[in-house]
Amino acid sequence: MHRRYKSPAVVEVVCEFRFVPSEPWDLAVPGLIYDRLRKDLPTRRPVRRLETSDRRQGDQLSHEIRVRPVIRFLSRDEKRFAQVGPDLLSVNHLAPYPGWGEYCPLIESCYSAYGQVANPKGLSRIGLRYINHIEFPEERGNMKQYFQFLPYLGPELPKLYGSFRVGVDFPLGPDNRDVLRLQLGSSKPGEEGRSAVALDLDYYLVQPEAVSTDDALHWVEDAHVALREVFEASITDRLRERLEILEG
Amino acid sequence: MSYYYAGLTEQAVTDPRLALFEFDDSAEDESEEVGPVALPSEAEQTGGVIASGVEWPGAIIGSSLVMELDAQLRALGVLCEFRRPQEVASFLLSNSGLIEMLPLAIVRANSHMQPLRPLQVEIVRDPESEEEWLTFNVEVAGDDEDVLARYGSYVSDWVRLAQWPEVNKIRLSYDATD
Repeated sequence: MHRRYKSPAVVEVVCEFRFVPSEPWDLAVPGLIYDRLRKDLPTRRPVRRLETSDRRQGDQLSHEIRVRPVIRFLSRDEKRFAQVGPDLLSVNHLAPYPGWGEYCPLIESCYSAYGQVANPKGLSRIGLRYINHIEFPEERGNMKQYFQFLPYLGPELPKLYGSFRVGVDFPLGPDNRDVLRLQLGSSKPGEEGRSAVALDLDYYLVQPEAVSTDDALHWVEDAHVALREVFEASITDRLRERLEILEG
Repeated sequence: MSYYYAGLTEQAVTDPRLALFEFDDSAEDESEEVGPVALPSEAEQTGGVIASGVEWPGAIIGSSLVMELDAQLRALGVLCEFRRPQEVASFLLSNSGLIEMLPLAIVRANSHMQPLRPLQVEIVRDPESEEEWLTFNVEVAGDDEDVLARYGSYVSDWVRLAQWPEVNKIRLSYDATD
């Protein structure tokens, strides 16, 4: 069932496309993409992102640190932005999240602009991620009242706990080509005397090039449906009440 | 509002703002469990970006600004103290150009001002204009002339480094004692 909420807990939604490296990155690409997006995302801001990653080749595990230059194209209120870099496009929306009906067209326009300019040869990764922050009025939160996904504590363990994190990867899609990573962890509440958690849902492609560039937006639509279903399955009616279901 | 995971660090555990959670073991579900199955690590498959500042093995920043900021605020926690960190995070998300500048400003403030205690970072709001900015509050020792010279050298450095409007959104206030 498709529900919409008056007070959604989403603090950021990110749709990320990583493309198969092909030709050397043309420095003119970001400017040409900006020409196509400037009406909606008029502010240009170059940033350097520090990235680290682990990569295994045979028996060798290497740790890499690199600086990736990206350019952000932001809306005037900086709530919506695209990030463009070598073989990378992401489309982000910060809170307040307007819903899929408004966010999806933004993804489509950014993806289209990138495709027209950069002409990518393939996709190594696609991801759609919803990061939620949920606050509760009580200091001592009982997660079972709000979540269907939570830490399990055996009978011999103390029942009171502080910081926590739980996570699980669900293999999904044809031949398990996708993963939906569901994570729940304690977060800092905005005010003393309250409790808060972060619920992070990340649906991503794990088999490089299993989805063609032409099918990417269909994949994103399917990912959204899967994320919506898992989000609804992760929470209880009590939390739905807190998020305030919109009628119709 | 806070956007980031509370870490399992000593600092996080002793943070009085962190709430406790209670495990309710009544009416346990007996439904069948299936799994786990072997899945490739995302980082191994795609060179995914690991959140270096997040103490959650495998936590991926990816292209998330919220997670990037989370990692940065954690890392900066060794250089300064954030007052009302949720407010700081919200402000930085609305002024994302400052995210990259903040570490540079903090390092320079520490270097020039030589504060007696870790500098405090907080949001200050002008009630009339509703303008907001980040303020570094520092306590320093020295006579007026010496402290003023240090402040002048910090400001010169910062103005040279930052551009408009970022330059005006990070300010420094000092309290000097002999």
